[in-house]
Amino acid sequence: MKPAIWWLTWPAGLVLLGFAALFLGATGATWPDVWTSLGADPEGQAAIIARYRLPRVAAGALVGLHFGLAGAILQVVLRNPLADPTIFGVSGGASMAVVLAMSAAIAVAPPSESINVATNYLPLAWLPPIALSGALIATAVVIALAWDHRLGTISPTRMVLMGVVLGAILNAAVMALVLSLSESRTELAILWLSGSLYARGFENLWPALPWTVAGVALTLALMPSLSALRFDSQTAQSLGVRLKLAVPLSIAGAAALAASAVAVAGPVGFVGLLAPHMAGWLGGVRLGERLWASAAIGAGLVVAADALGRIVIAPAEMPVGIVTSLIGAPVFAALLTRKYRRLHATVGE
Amino acid sequence: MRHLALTLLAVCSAAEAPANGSFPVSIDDARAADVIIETKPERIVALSNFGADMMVALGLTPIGITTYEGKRPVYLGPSLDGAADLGDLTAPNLEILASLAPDLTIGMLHYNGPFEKEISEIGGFLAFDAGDLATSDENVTQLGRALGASEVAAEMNAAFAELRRSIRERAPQDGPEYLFLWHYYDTFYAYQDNLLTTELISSMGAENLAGYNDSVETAEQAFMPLDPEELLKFDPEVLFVFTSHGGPVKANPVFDRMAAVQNGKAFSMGYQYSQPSGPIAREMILLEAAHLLYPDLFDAPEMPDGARARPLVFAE
Amino acid sequence: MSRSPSAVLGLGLVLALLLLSAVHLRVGAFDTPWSALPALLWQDDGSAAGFALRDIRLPRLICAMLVGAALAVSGLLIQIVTRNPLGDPGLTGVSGGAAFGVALAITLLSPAVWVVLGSGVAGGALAAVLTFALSHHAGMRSLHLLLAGIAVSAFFIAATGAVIIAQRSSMQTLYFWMIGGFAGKGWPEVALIGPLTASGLAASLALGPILAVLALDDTVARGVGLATGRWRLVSAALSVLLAAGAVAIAGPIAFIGFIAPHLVRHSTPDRAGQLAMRAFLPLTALTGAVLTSGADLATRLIPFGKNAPAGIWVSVFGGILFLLLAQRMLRGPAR
Repeated sequence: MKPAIWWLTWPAGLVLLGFAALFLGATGATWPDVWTSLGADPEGQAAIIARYRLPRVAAGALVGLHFGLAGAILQVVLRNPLADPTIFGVSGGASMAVVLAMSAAIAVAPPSESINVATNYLPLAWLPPIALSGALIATAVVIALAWDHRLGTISPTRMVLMGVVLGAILNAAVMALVLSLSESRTELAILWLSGSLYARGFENLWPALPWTVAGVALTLALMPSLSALRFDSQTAQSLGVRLKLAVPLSIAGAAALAASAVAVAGPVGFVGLLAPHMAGWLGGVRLGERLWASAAIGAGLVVAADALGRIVIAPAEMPVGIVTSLIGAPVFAALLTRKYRRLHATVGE
Repeated sequence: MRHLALTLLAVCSAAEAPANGSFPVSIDDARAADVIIETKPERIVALSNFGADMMVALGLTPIGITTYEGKRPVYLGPSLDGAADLGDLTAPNLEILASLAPDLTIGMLHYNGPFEKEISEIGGFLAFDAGDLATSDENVTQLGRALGASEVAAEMNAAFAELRRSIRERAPQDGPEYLFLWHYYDTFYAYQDNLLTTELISSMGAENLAGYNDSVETAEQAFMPLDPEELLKFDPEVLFVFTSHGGPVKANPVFDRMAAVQNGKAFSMGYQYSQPSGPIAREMILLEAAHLLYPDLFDAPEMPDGARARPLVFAE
Repeated sequence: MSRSPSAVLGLGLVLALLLLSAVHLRVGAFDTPWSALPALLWQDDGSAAGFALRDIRLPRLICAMLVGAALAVSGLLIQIVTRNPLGDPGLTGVSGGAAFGVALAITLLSPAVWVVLGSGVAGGALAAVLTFALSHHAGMRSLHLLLAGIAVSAFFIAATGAVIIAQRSSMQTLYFWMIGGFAGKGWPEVALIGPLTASGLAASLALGPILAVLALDDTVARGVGLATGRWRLVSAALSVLLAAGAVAIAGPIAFIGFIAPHLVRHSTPDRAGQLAMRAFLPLTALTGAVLTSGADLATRLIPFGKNAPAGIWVSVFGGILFLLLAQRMLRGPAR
């Protein structure tokens, strides 16, 4: 067991990082600006920080926490170090739902001069519930396809395969739809599809919080099963884990966390893949440690990536999903290469 | 050249005139919602090209503008040099927008609609979408009222109507056949006459081979994709091309066979042709196209060199 | 007559290809009646219709066939080398890498066809190396290859998006580049992809006997004295070259590499591996050519909304076929 200081370092580091991220944006900031932005009734630049950066830092932390936790759970349950929480088809499903909703809005209220044009574009606030339902439906489909009837539970192999297959198909369909609808109002869809925290406020965050609570609670409840699931299924079973229940529940929990995160920010790649590996590298050996560190690292990654995206090409913005992919992929490759021997031993074949 | 001077004269007199119009005014914008503007706006951000164009025409300077596909409206000349850059029109930088503390933000519903709430809470938001000539006239009228220059706006519309009439009278009845293409890598779209750019060119006796589209709901949808063979089939006498991503057009043997290319009547057009609604853009389009269609009858208008049409060039 | 099933399939594919070609050449803005087709095709009468036939429709058709054949054979090679039935240039990141190379060339270097091709091939090769390196450590044959491919692909798509955004272009450009198609492809493209695909296919055929052994177990391969590592590398390189060249010319056309070999397997009574490689390879190439030229014909006849590029029908039909085949494969005895 790690000392208390190890456990406390993570949230403390995250808070520090979030604080630092408040300094970064297209309009700059000074110490007093950032400091007063956290108080009541900020003014001037402090108000801009409070209105535009603070909610994005909070949203980034929440989204990253979801992805980090989901990735850690998933890699344990599927016993696969390359599993990303988006392989359930959550990204594809959410994207599909958003693009379909856009075309439905146009079909229901065609852009005609005679009627109120305001009804035929989707406001940003409508996207999260739409994305969430799409993500959950796609997840349900993948889980149904991955169900092994003989064992009466989810087959991890099939889970990965069907996730990849469905993901590829949904991605292709989304691209086709975006392009065939582009005569209409798809700019919002495109912005959202690249994984962005643009214009996110606290009001976009609240709907995700119940999912955070439920996801964390489920994870805590499943901790004993998850620790046993790190071993192969026979060992897990001999340790008293009810596989039929524990595996689907863990997967559903991870999927719900990932889906609600995608609903807020769109598909943000590599965070769920990378965070558990970084957690392992930074000393998260036992399961609890790894989950704790993964959640914090995931949150930190998204917060940092979004801050970077705000400044690299200001006044334009690099969507956070692109930044996490660009940074995450090489780091991930490096980590994987460094410790492939250990992985090879734990993963087995 | 004479005509451009004519309208600019009107504009100059407007700038000198005391602020006309009374506030508050109620503006009917693209949202079909009445927006009340309490006092004459002083700090104005133009997210859309139309807004920037109208402001420059009125002798006003926006404190912030956006780009579209990375392009600034060069045709508006140096008057926008001091304006802050807010990034792309489809996702303007909200932090910079807020730091400018505008009391009016002029945008497009088409692109800014999803973020209407965020933009409105920073500074009053007015949305105008592009379309045909009638839409352009209406937008000029409404924005003119919002900016406290309703009389000048009315003069602008009247002067532009007069300019169109005088050019139509001088132009031949049976002008050349033409196409206006919007070009995007391997794809070409022909603008139909529902759109302001082609509506103006066709008003001078030239015939748009892409015709008028009766089946679309809004002018924004009035374009048709063309593959190279269809382009060759149309083979217009004059070819106007706006390359959305900039740079030369990808070479295709079809172009070598086209009459417009062979006769030096294929042109690469400036940014204003894709954003034609503003009073300056539409006048510039009318005058330049008149010259390109009928070089013997109409002189080249005075305009910033960066915005001028050039012979179409191809990338090998 | 043990080879008759594959001979029948081959004949059917050739007939289908001829039929598709005839319709392709017949349809277009210019009216070219059936009776006039042969004459217009053989001699230049100076007419625009003849030009359209010879210099627009014909090169586009040939380009579609070459790309389809290249992608199909590339997919087959990946499936053999990795022994992963889900092998596909799109799923191993090669398409994503090639698309990134193309985007980089067009935005930063030059839109000239040969620059685009070179940059695309380099991007595809880089992506392939990354995917194989990532999955090699964790055991290439398993699911890891797929997951690594997805990750590499996501990385290169994000990188393409970054290039586009850094140019302050709209992200819609990404979608144009990620779907692919044959509109506007002419003889210059054929002149580039033709030799590349032809030599790739010839090399694959020459490798046939070795591929047949590689498709078996490593121990068997070593038992017959084959340096498996080296030959797998050669085959993988060939696969990357074929796919990256095709993607550089036509964009990342999805699923063909996966579908074509599986369709051939499913259409012949022989089980996979038993079908002689010298029959399997050409049949796969033909299937790929039929699929892409058929999909391209669909885009020419049935527009999929105003802005849609040609690759959309490939994605739609390919996606459905992909799902059916993958589902069947999973339910099958192999897993």
